Amino acid sequence: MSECEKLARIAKLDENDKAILKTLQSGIPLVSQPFAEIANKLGVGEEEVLLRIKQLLDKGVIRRFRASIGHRQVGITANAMIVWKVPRVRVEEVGRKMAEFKEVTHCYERRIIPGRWEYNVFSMVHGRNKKMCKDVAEKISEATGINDYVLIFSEREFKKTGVRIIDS
Amino acid sequence: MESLPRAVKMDKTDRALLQVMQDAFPLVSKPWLEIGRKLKLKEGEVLSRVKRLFKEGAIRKVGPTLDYRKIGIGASTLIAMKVPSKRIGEVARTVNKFEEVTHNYQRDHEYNLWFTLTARDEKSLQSLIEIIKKSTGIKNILNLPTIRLFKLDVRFNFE
Repeated sequence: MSECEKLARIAKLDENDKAILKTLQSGIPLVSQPFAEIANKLGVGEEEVLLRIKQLLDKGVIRRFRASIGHRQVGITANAMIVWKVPRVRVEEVGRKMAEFKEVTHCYERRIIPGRWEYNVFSMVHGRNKKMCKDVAEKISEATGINDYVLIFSEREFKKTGVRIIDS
Repeated sequence: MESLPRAVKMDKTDRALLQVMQDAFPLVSKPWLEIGRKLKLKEGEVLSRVKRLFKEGAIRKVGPTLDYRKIGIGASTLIAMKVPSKRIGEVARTVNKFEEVTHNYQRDHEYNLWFTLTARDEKSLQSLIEIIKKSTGIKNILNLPTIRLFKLDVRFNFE
């Protein structure tokens, strides 16, 4: 499928796909042959499970398949949501530039509420400490020429879960 | 709700392992064996290190992240609330009760509570927002949906 087709289509999932995705929501078992174990649970073959996962990746339903890291446990304790006021005509160019920074994990254009909230671009930066995040913000500001920004640090993590696949 | 977890002790090999595990996971029958080949480690050692890192919380899980737009699931948004500081814990707990809330953080800003919401569709999302406003009694909220995604790649540098 071409990129365009991938983007345009909403993928159809059959019952096997859904069952596999549901099982994988909590992560793969930490055993020598994790996909065989999943296959056993679902009553299908290991090859089938692997094939379907690859198909779902190809369709773009699965964005990535990899480890998710507990960032606080590995010493990455500062989490800055940097919000930027970017002129509308420059949003696309600036957004792309910000995405190039490896320290930026998320970058979005969001809706503004005139008179209440005018920062339209959000970039999330994680670092070992606040100073590192501030340094990255300065680098980004220099590279993009955007000077109107605020670093909004997280103070407490109240919840962090993945989206549960909603049963349709 | 948690206080800061203590940082996990990691040696050079653990760090190299974490770095590699942030790349695409090998979709093969014996993935740990394959990772071991990359790092010149035996399958058994890879697995025992991974299990330890998992137990300590450095690895949360190994699995897929989904693009919900692809399966036509729903609408999502980012909400910011201005909460009186003495009520922050209570309001955060109320918000957390909703399973549609995925990430919820206190931040240092006048808008001090930020959370993401995912619902089946736009209509459900809007009703959910109203319900949350009612349950918390907080009227001063910002609803900031995504117009465009430029990047979503959560990975860290362990080297």
